[in-house]
This record gives sequence, structure tokens and C-alpha cells, in this order.
Amino acid sequence: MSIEKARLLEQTRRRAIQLESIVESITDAVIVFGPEDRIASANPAVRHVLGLPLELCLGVRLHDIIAQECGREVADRAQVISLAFESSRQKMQQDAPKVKCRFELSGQVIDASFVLVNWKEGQPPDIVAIFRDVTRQAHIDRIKEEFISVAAHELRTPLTVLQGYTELLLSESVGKVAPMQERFLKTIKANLERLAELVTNLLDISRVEAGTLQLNFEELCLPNLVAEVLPAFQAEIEQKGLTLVVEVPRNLPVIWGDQSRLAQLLNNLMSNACKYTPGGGQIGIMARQVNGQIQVDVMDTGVGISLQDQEQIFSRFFRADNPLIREIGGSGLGLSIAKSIVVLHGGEIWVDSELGSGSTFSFTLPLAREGSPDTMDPPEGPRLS
Amino acid sequence: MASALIETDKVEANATKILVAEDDKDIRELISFTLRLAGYDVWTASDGVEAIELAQEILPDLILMDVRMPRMTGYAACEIMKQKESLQDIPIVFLSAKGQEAEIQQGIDVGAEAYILKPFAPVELMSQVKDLLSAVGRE
Repeated sequence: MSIEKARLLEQTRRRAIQLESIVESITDAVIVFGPEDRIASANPAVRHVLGLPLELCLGVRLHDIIAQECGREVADRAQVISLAFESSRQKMQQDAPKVKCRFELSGQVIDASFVLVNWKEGQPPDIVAIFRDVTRQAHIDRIKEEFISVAAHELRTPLTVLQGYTELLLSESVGKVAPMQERFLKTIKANLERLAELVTNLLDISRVEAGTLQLNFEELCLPNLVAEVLPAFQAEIEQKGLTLVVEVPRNLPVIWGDQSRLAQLLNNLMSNACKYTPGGGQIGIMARQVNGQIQVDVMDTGVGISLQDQEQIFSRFFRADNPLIREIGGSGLGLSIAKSIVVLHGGEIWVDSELGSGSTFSFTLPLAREGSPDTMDPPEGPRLS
Repeated sequence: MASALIETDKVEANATKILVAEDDKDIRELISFTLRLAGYDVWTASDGVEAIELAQEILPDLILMDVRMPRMTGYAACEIMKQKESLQDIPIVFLSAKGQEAEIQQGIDVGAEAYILKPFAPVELMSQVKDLLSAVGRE
């Protein structure tokens, strides 16, 4: 063997050892499923994350571990893991080679990801599986969600009472109301509505922050959704003399999304469009298919957003430093929530605007596909900002 | 500030009976007043246990129940009611805060007919109750 080859071989050997040490030291369990679903390799973490003895795993299939006489405990665990593996494999497609799922394993909560990896041409791909114990995190999430639920209930109780009685007074159900009294009561009512909206927004943001915002996905018809949202703006549009343009073709393909959250998203954007456009201006909503997704544009000819502000427009509590904007009022949470909703749907949201000319907010949504999951897999990685 | 229950004119003898189970006194009175204004015969309970007892006694045409109550939650009470022959056909409507989708689904799962979101305008409450009653043929 030439010296060159020997050196190359040595280098490769060292590299292999290095990579192996890295995988051995990872605290998440890493399993590579090779041909016939046999475990080609597994790291020591399989023991403390999955409760599977390393010696049992190598070279066998999960089915074999279940069948072997190694105790009920291990067999049960292998069974659960095997189910997660099978259901994830079914969801794998050429264009979506990575599938994630979460499952419970003997009291633990495990986040798993399965990836198709093609080592060699002409050979079927291996599946690399990574398992992480997220029991503690899941527990904390449950506590957070419970807190938010209680807060929602506690905040809404006095709001319900206040709004209810104010409404009853205004409707003269308990006696006539003098003009000044009526005026004061209307002010109270308007501010209670602001408060109610703020509470809703804060609770939504808390949920996004806690990672516990639940979406219920189903097939939806975008034109219908738009038709449901628009009537709420009729009064304001008429009052301000705005022109409304709607270009949402009926033959758009069905989308995959959470109806109430998407309605909230559209509401948010439309509300901004109306709010920040002075009388006589134009607002519009358009939808079309672009690159296998649906793109929705909500435009207005209103105050616009400076390039500098555009960078932060989707941040929590951000409000443009523009006297016109400040005068109109708003919590600064609407766009942050809008972004979270879009991201949770797997889409993108962006703005195209010029100060003084108007803005167009655009977002994309995925189409409904055959075999789409019923619920969203848990949001991955770092918190949405 | 008056704390006594707001009385309205007597309702007719054959008026539709509604049972309201809600632990917060002010909301309980708000709902009672609103529904009495609309001509219904309203009965109130302040927790799940009382709600079941009262329901068996008066056999209401509709039960409005808050989700969160002391002693027994709205769900637990609903589940129990659906198991009792005398009560299982009475439509139950949950009162829940907006955004509590999980709660709402849970309510539907235990047999609730529908839900009403808080906060609500009195006029909305009246129209939703009216729609629900006619939908189940008890108007």
C-alpha cells in the first residue's frame, strides 16, 4: 500500500472513531434502523432514555426484542417504540423525509424524530431515529397551560359581568337612560371591549409562549372563511367610505388549517387594514395559488410602515413610532399572534409597505394533501418570537 | 349596592324552564335577569351537586352550566346527568371562556349540546338560548 493510501486510511479511521465517540456521548438515544428494520447501531443513551439494554438492541429488529424473553418491562417499551416507528414511517414521503412524534413510554414523555438517510445509491435508505426524554418539559407545559386556563376564566368572569350589566343598562331594561348617562355608558362599553380584546390577545400570546397553543386542523375552503370574516367590517368600511376589493376565487384548492385561528388571523389583518387607512382609501384581500401553496394578500392604502419599523412589525408589543399610529391605538400584539398562527400552519408571513402609501401583508398556507395528519406535531425547537 | 336577586315580573305558568349552574354570584344573577327578561322561568344552582339535585326536582327544558365550579365541575355534573334516565334528554349548554378549545371539546365529548362563550352580550345570550331551545324542539 502506498504511503498516500495508508495516510488516507488512517485519517478515515480516526474520523470514524471521532464520529463514533460523538454519537456515544450524545444524551439523546440514537438508533439507526438498517435493512429489514434491523438495528444497525445504537448509542448507550438508549438505556436511560428508552429503557432498552444496549446489548439487546444490536442487529435485531424491535419485533425481536418484543418476542424475546427479556422481561415484560422491556417488551412493553419495545412495543410502544415500535408503534411510534411504524406510524412515523407511514408518514414519510420523498419530499418530507423527516417525521416527528411524541409518545408516552412507561410514564416518560419522549419526543422522537425519524429521518430517511440514503447512504448508498441503489440501496434502500436507512432510518435514523433520535429519542429525547422531555418528561420534565411536558410537565412544566401542563402546569403553564393550567395556569393560563385559570387566568382566562378569572379574567373573563368580571368582564362578563361588566359587559352584561352595561349592555342591560344601555338597552333600558331597568329604566330609562338620560343622554349623558347613555354617553358615559357607551364609553364604558367601548373600553370594556378593548379590555376584552386585550385579555384575549394576552392569553393567546401566553399560549404561544408556553408552546401550548393547540390547533385543530381540517380541510377548509378559504373563500368561505373570508366571507365569514368580512361582514364584521361592513360598518367601519361604510362609515369611513373605504373601497373594499375582494379577489378570492371560488375555485381555490382546499387548504389545511384551523378554522378559528385562521379566522382570527384574517380578522387581525383586516382590522389593521381598516384601522390604519384614512377615509376614502382602499382595502383589499386577494388569494391565489403560488408554488403549491395558497398566498393571501391583505392590502390597504393607509399610513404605511417605514422600512425600519418593518423589521420589527411582527414583534410582541411593537407599535410603530409614528404619531398617526399612536393616535389610533392598539395593543401591539395582533401581528405577533398573526405570525405565530401562520408559522404554526407551516406558512410564512411578510409585509410590503411604503410609508405614506399603504401596506400589503402576505402569508402562505399549505394545501390539504391526502394523508395529512389530524393534529399538528408538537412545535419544535426554540420558542416562536 | 343591592345584593338581592333582581326580580322581574312573574313569568307565565307554562314558561320554558331553564336551570343555570354558575358559581359566580354576579354572573348567575346577570344570566337569570337576562333570561327572565326574555320570559323564561329561571332556576339557579351554584355548583354541580346542587345542579343535579335541582335538575331532578324541576326537570328543566335546558341547562346552562359553567365549566369551572367548586365541589363538582361542569363536566362531572354533565356526565352524571347523562347517566340518569330522568335527566339524560335535557340539553346541556356549557359556558366557557373563549380560547378554551380543549375545554369546549371535552364538554362536547361528555354530551353537551353546545357551548356559549364568555363574555357574551345579554342579547346574544337570549338569541342563542332561543335558537338552542327551538333546535331541540322545546320552545
